[in-house]
Amino acid sequence: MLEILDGGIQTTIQDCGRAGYQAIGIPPSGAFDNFAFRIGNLLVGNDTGGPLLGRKPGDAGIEIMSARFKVRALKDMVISITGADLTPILNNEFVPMWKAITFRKGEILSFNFPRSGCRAYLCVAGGINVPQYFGSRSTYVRGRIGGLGGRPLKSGDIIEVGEPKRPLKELEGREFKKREIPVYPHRQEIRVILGPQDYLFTEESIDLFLKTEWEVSLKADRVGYRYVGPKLDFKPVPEYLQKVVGKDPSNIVDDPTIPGSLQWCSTQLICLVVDAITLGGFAKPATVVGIDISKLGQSFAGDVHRFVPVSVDEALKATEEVEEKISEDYVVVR
Amino acid sequence: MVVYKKTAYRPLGEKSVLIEFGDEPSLLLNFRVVAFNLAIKESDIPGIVEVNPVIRSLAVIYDPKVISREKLVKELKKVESEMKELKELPSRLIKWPFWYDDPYTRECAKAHWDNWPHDYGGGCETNIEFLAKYNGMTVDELIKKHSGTDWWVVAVGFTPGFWTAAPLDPSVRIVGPKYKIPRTWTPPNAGAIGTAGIFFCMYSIRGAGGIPLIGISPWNTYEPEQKNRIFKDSPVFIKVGDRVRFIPIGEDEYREIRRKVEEGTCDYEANIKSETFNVKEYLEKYGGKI
Repeated sequence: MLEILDGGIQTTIQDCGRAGYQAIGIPPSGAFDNFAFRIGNLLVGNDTGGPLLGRKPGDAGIEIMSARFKVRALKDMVISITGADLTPILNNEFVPMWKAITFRKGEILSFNFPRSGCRAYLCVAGGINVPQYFGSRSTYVRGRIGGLGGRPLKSGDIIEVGEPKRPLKELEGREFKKREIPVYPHRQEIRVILGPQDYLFTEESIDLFLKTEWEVSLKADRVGYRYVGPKLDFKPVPEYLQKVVGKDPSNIVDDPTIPGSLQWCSTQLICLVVDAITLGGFAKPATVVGIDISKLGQSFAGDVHRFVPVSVDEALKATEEVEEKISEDYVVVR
Repeated sequence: MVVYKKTAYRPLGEKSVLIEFGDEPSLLLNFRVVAFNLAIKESDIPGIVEVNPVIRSLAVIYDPKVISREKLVKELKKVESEMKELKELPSRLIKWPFWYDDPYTRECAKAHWDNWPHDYGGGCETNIEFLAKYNGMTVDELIKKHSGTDWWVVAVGFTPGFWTAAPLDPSVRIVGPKYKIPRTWTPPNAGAIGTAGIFFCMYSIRGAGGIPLIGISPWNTYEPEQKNRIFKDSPVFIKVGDRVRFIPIGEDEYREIRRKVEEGTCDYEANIKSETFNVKEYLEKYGGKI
């Protein structure tokens, strides 16, 4: 068991998400940085689940945003910390990341200030054992479901840990290949697939959309990331549509959205992410490729994104390359 | 023409396809969406993870390891071409208790006074009073009109359980402006008049909102705790293709039903009837007007 001593800014229990319920308005949720989270589970011998919007939730872990989270072990366990470097400290020493380590009964692990990236993952051998809600343990705070009571963790919470799948001694010291550890630079290229409504924008605006270095604004959470950037323009709206959606050319009759949907909302670009709304009335020039939603999860206000168009085949090939790394072949045992 | 000559299949990321029958908020398109959604469910296309039907289009999310995009689109087009002429659709009739012009939505309107785009003038103090005046009727007339038709549910979602419906009687066109600045909160289970007045929306959680409120229901739209029997299998029971008839209630009834909802003993089922909706007959009557 784990005892939460400080819940931090927004710490939630997540797995790889709850697919299948967007038709009733429930987004998949799940770890915002799917890759870092799954490597964390891999190192401690857990079920690594699958990509976002799939049907493999895998074991659950803890997503910690930005800073200030403190937890005590109530029994001996093996853990791993992946994703953002939030200066994790155990026994007055910096903890090695991307490595399975022992966390002994009574010890306190703290996360402090962000040195690189935005979201860290704490995985425990055996997984975080909270009840599943519709096939997943992921917390969706707005919908009050999943995790612990559908809310972020707070001090005083006691969390159950499941039964490790392998002896702890076997897990200790397992590391992710050093050269494969991702870095989280302030400037990132984000791959997108154009559409579904790129045709509503002027050609110049689509060029501008792809050329611009979009700055992540302060309004960025698990629902959406708002960007600061130039204004995009539209082709003239036919009169029959003006009558029903109004004069603002970015308004369309509502249609489905998914995590990764880039919406142009009157004057601002918003990328919907893991806790996305499931439908919307704004034109969408492109969709971020699933694996690059992880990059958004590691970005802060002020970071800069450039959107790079790829084909569906290129996106799937890149996804395959990422999936290959989530395997024992990439684990080094010292 | 409301319906595209050729259905549009558009990319929505690398493992999702958006199928669009048209770009207008028309019931004609939604009937097709409902029928296509049912046909996809009955088909044996492998690899489909979920389908999200919304007003005029559907998102089909699939597992690209099981089926390629080319194959999926080919299969979906086959299902589409085999769809017969729309004659009837299964559709439940739900009698939804609703307290028009209630103190909760009045309070919410008051709290967001400065976000409203118009000068209230003429003594209007609430969204519903304004809407009545704007549409040239009294509040009572608006309630009579609003509760005098069945509302076809065209979309579920945005937030969990949030639903959008259009009136089956096309003469019910209650129009209203959007908020200048969205409200920061909305009472759960409050109902509002959507953009261009052809839609009604039911809020499910205490979220932000941008369209004028007309009342509140004692029923939960979304119940993650699944206390009442209707929510046993899902925290949301309403679905696209249902019809809602609003039953105007007053304060006493509201409190009585609300008490049962909170206890977990509310008999929603007594107000729900499974029926078949005759699309053909409906289109013969209203086809040119929707």
